[in-house]
Parts: sequence; structure tokens; C-alpha cells
Amino acid sequence: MLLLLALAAGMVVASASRKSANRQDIMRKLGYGSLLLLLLVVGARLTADPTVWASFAGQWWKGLVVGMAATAASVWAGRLVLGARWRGNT
Amino acid sequence: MMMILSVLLGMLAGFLVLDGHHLPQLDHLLEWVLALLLFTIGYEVAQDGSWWVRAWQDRKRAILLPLTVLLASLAGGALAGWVVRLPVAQSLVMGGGMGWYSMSAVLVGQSYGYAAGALAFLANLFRELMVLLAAPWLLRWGGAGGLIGAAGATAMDSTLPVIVRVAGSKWAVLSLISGMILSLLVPFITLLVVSILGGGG
Repeated sequence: MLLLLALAAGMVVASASRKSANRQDIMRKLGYGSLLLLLLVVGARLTADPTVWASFAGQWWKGLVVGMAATAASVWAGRLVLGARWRGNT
Repeated sequence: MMMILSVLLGMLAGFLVLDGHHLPQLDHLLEWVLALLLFTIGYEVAQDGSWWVRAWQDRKRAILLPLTVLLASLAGGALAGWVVRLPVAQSLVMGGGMGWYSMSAVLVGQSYGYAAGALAFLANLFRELMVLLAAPWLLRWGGAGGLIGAAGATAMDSTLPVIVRVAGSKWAVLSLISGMILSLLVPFITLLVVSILGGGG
């Protein structure tokens, strides 16, 4: 709920305020900085969690194989639906 | 490169400095940082005043994309499970976790036991990590659709900032819709597979 509210708040602020290249630049930098912080916390969250280490014991490689296969199949499916474009219009 | 370094640095910090006692604080921090990020994404998306027109124009693909991705993910999971000799039902629900590792681990664990739940957790964790660490390559290989597809259910929250960063903010709305539809479908598909193919196998 908090996340949806944050997203909606960002959209409301952008719609309500006048366009400004300076503000847009600040927002972009803020976004990139918080993305790096998010990735840092995600990484820390993973290795600080003892259940992750516990689940690595034994047949972890099977999880890796299934996860990679599901990801690869999903990439293929996404490419099938939208094509290989990545900079064009949606 | 900076994104990969951030994850690796975080992992190192978690390994050397933090432990299980810090998890509640880390979760709290994670939620607020994610909220800040989504605020900036919302801002960037709405800067382009025609975002809702594009979302409406894209409605068919916005529905087709997650459904196709879900089917492919189930098939990929089942095929890989067959190769590594896992029960079909178990590998199907692992593939159908769509990167939502916490939910998938709980649902699979309840139906097939702790070990299967741990495997589902790992399969979906690897999926999210792959998107976080290899987003530019996934984008090059599969286009924006491929990247959003790989992100699965996480395309609406934890991997959304990475998708927007590498593919552009024009993909944010499609990514959000795809992630939302898949998040709704994950518990339903898991329970459906369990009820058809049976639990405990």
C-alpha cells in the first residue's frame, strides 16, 4: 500500500508542478541514488538472513537450474509478445 | 556496473557485519527506500503527459505479456525439473513462483515440505538476482518485453527501478501492470497445480 501511494504521489507531484529541467535532473539523481541504496540493502538482506544459508545446503543447484530455465523461458516469451525492440514506442 | 557493485557490497556487509537480528530493520529500510524510488518513478512517468494514452493503447499487450510469460515460466520450470529429476508438480510450482520467492517458498513448502519450499525460494531468488545483476544483457537479448518477463511478479516493485533505469521510463506502466497481474496469479496458479497434480509428491 505504501509503495502504491508513493508511486501515486510522484505522479500527482509531477502533474501538479510545472515542468522544470532542473527539478527533473534532481529527481533522476535521487532515483539513481536510491536505486543503488536499494540494491545495497537487498544484497545485505540476502546474506544477513540465516534461512538463505540454510536453504543453500544440499540440492541448491536444482533451484538454480529451475530458476534459470524459468527466467530464460520468460525472456523468450516477453520477446515473443513485444518483439526485440527496447527503445521504440510501446 | 555500479548496480552490480552495490549488490555485491551489500552482500559483503550482510555477511561480515549483519546477522538475523538486523532483518526487521533491513526490511523496514527496504520498504522506505523502495517507496522513495517509486515516488521518483511516478514523477518521471507522469512528466510525460501522455503516459495514460500509451497505457490504454497497450492494453492488449499488457494482458497478453504476463499470461504468455506465466505459461513459458511454468513450461521452463517443468522442463528443467524433469532434467534435474524433480517431481513435475513441484518444478511447475517452482517455475510458477515468478520471482516472488517469499510467497512461493511458503506455498510450495506447505504442499511439498520444507526442502521443496527451500528449493522454490532459491529458484525464485536466483530469478530476481538475475534481473538485478544482468538487466542490460536481458534487455539486449529479449528486448523490454524479455526484461519485464524475466522480472515476473517483481516487475511491479523490487525490479521496477532497474527496468526503468535500463529500458527507460516509457516501460514503467507496462511493467507495473504485468507485475500486478502476475502477483495476483502466483497464489492461484500454485494452488491450482497442487490441487490438480496433488501435494506431497
